[in-house]
Amino acid sequence: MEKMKRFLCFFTVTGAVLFLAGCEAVFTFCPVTFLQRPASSLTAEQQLEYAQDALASGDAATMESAYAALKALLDAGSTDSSTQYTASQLAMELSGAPAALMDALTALASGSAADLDISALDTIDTTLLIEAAQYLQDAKENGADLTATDYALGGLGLLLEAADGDIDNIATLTTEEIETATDFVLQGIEDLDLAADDPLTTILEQFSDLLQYL
Amino acid sequence: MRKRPVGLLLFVCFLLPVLHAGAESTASFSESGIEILSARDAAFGGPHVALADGLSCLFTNPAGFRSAEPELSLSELTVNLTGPVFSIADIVVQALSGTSATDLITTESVQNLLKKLYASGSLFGPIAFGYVGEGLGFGFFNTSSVTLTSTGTVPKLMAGIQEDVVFAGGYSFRIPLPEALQSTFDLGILLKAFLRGNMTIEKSTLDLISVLSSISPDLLLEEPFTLGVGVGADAGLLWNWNSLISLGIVGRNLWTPTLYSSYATLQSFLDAGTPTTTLGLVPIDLSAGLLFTPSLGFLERYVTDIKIALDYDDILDFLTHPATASNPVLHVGLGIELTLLEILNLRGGFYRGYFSGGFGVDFTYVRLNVAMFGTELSTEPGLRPAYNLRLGLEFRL
Repeated sequence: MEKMKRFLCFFTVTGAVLFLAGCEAVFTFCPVTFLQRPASSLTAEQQLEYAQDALASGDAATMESAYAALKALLDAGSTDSSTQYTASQLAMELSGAPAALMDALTALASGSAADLDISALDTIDTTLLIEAAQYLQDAKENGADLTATDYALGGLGLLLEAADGDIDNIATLTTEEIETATDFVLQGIEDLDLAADDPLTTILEQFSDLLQYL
Repeated sequence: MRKRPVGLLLFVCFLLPVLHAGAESTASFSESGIEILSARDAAFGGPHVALADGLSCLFTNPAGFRSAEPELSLSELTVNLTGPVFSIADIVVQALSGTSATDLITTESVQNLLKKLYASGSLFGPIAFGYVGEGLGFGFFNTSSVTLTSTGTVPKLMAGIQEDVVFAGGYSFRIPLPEALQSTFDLGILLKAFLRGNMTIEKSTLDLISVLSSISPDLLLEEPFTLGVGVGADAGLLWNWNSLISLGIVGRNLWTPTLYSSYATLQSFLDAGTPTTTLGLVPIDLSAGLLFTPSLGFLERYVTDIKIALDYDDILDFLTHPATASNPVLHVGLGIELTLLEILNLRGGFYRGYFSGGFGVDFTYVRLNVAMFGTELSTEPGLRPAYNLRLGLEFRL
């Protein structure tokens, strides 16, 4: 009996080690995914929760359905700052603008700023980015706290709004027409309470300048 | 004369949760309750309210204090890791092997990971002193946890640190039933109090540039700190027929008010600054479960014991916290536990939409439990799965 018990312990520990080596996929497989409730069938507050989860999931299809649900709420007159802010984040993510910004940051981090490819802006869904900027402005007016990324990408969205969504029109804009976008970016320095020598101040100032020379 | 306390307890168990559920839906915000990490429960398809089995019933169903075998816990160390632990370990190995931070962060796998990262590490214990048996149950515990999340293509990072200290004590008594019924019926109540310290740091990638430019050992002192206290009560019932089938119903957090004091910075807390206080209420969790413990006849020489449990937890979530009410399938917990040769426990289950598995080895005074399981971080199945690895070392008498 004692031998049997020792064998069992050995078998268990060995089995557990083997099990641990490749089981992550097994335990994160959900066999009841088909029972997911569609975002449109949820209440307004559940839709907001769902949207935040969709954003955190990184799944484009889920984000699209969550954005459609939040957009319907906002179109129906909702002025909730959390809904506006989450809608802006979804629209921004779906527009592809953060990927372009991340490419730029990566290029800057690796010291190849000279090779920065402005044509990456062509891949951005301008309609979604303009909507994101509008929701960001609404959320800010209703008391939401924005991040530096929000000010940068929101500024780009407002610039595209001034250019009627056409990147080619940006070059024809007057300084006054660009001002709403650049002011939004620079507002971030004040709202985030950044010191003059803070590197983030420099980045936002440079980004604001970049918008004028696109 | 005995009918009065029984009636009162039945009222507490059933009617009060229902009445309170309606009131709570108007509460300004909901709070997360107390979670006691158990490697056994995790592998066994979640906590089971019909299982009256040692210290585990302290927070699952206080009615179990009467039928549970007496057990004294001296200490416990249960570690839980959540998230892509193997992927993170791989990145750490790469970093240690000399890959530069810039090269590492620009790799596609790391960027994909940061788009939807949820990782946490928790430690339950070493303070885990408690006793359950002969109708009495009490315990004093601590849990420490660290959480890291990252969302979006330009990642927005959130780090949280939390420490919970919990004290709970309760009593269960048996209602005499006619012997012909071959049943036992227990009612129990538990009172609890907790203290919680929490720090949450939230930054976007661009904000981090600002933080990192002025990084110092005092960085944490400049972040917001929240101190919370709460008291509450759980009540439950447990019916057993012929040591074969058990039915349990429990109302947790029947009335659990909390007071949170938010300090602008940790330094402000240390300097006894003036906090902003918020009153809250932990939502009621009404759960029910069935346990089946069949006799295995001649097989009992090898398989000492078998337990099959089925639960539905947080039945009233659509009333008590409608915004975060989960899909009904995420409330289901199904588990099986086999005890082989009295020392080895093999466990499997299905809880909150994911499979679980694990084992335990009972060395009489020390128990080792290991669990691997999936959890759903969202309110819908399959939307945000997370992998968990839990290892527990329990020191019991």
